[in-house]
This record gives sequence, C-alpha cells and structure tokens, in this order.
Amino acid sequence: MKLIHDMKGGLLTVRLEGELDHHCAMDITARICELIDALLPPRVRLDCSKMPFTDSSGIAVVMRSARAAQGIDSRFTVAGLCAQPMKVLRAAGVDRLVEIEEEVHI
Amino acid sequence: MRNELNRVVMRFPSKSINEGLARSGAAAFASQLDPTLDELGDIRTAVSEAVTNAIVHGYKDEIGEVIMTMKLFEGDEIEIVISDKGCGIPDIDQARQPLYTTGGAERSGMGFTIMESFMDSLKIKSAEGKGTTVTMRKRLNTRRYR
Ligand SMILES: Nc1ncnc2c1ncn2[C@@H]1O[C@H](COP(=O)(O)OP(=O)(O)OP(=O)(O)O)[C@@H](O)[C@H]1O
Ligand SMILES: [Mg+2]
Repeated sequence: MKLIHDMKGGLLTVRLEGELDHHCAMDITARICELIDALLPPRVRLDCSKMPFTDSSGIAVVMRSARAAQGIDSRFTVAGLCAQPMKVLRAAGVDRLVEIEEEVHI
Repeated sequence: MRNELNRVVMRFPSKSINEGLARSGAAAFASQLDPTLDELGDIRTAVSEAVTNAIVHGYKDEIGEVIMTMKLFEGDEIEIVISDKGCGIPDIDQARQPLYTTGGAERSGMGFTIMESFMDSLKIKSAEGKGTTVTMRKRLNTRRYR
C-alpha cells in the first residue's frame, strides 16, 4: 500500500493507494499519526478513493488516526470510500463515530 | 451433503505478506462461478479476516503453517476452510462477541462478526494448544438468478 500526503491551507490530505490489511496497517497508522503530530493541521482528510479493499485492520487505522486528529483539536474526515471498505467500516459502526464525506474534492 | 465439484488447497507460512495472496487465491477460485463484485468483496474480506487471525492470534509468537481449503459444491455453493495449529481459542462464544479482542490497539474485535455477516455461515472449531479451524460457506446466486 502507498501513502501520499499533501498539506495545503490548513488541510492535510492523506491518500491511501492499494489494499489495506494487517500486513501494512501498523506502518500506515504510524505514518498518519506522525504526519498529524508534525504538521498540526486544523483539518485532516483521509482520502480512500484509491483504496479498493480493507479488512478489519482498517477499522483500527481509521479510529487511531481520528483520535490523533482529535488530540490536536483537528477536524477529521474519511472521503471517497469504495463499496467494500464502506461495508466493513459500517459493519463496525465507524460511520457513526467518524465523519464520512461522500466525495473527494481535489 | 451436496456433491463436491472442485477443490483447491493453499498452504503457506504465517507471514503477513501471504494475506493478500490468500485473498487473491480465494477470489480466483470463486471466479469459476461468475460472481458479482459484491460477492467477491465479501469472500475476500472473510478470507482476509480468518487468515489474519491465524497469523496474529494462532501463531502469535511463532511462524506456523496456515492451510486454506476451498471447495465448490453443486448448487453454486463455496466452502472455505482455514486452519492453523496454533494456540487455540479458550472460549469460542466469547471470541465471537463483537468488540472482543485479545489483540490490543491494532485490533478491534470485529473479525468474526464480519465473517459471519459477509458469508452465509461460520463454524469455529478450536482446542487450546492444538489450533483453530474456521469453516465458512456462501452460496453465490445474485448474477445467475437475476
Ligand atoms: N486462529 C485463532 N487462534 C487463536 N485465537 C484466535 C484465532 N482467531 C481468533 N482468535 C481469538 O478471538 C478473538 C476475536 O477474533 P476477531 O477476529 O473477532 O477479532 P480480532 O482479531 O481481535 O480483531 P479484528 O479482527 O477486528 O482485527 C481474538 O482477539 C483472539 O483472541
Ligand atoms: Mg481478527
């Protein structure tokens, strides 16, 4: 899985590209939390439009990233979810705990 | 029991790099039934959950062998059996509860709940110190009988 980030006008966009599973989850969580701690963005968007798959490992990635953003009073959203990742996050009730955006605005 | 039409077995060491391989293997096996994208997604997810459990819980502090057997039955039904000879589960009813986990901050305790809801049936057999076998079934029909 690839992680690409972009910081513009107070918005940190983190784009995940590829399949998210236990194999890469720890590394991805650590990198997102490091970016949030280093850049202190007022706004964080996790762009999942290039992520066709996640398993339950992605639940912890989203929740821990959201918590890191919350820790610096930053607004955290997940954007561009494909059908399969959406189904997994919904099954875990993540959509009730984290703000999900319908579309990615680039 | 319905007639078995096809069977493929994958055996691999419990290394996380093989999680993606197991998903792809299961998707390739299921593709003989011309599944929908949603059905493929469900199967890939359930396989990822069971294989990851074998790797992170079953063989927590060691590398062992994971065996995945995929069977096709008459009536467009697929069965996937994933087993490990790892530490086993002391209390299966408790392990199946949503949010129950022994895995710490990287796990959320949703694996079995997801397997159960994404497949038609989920059976778990386990013995402490001997290992765990997870059997999942799903009938693929949405495309064929549309
Ligand atoms: N193959 C296995 N061997 C030993 N213990 C297992 C195995 N599979 C599951 N377990 C136990 O059952 C618990 C629940 O599993 P489940 O997959 O539902 O959640 P999880 O793996 O902890 O978290 P998640 O799957 O959401 O990342 C695990 O925390 C573990 O204690
Ligand atoms: Mg699990």
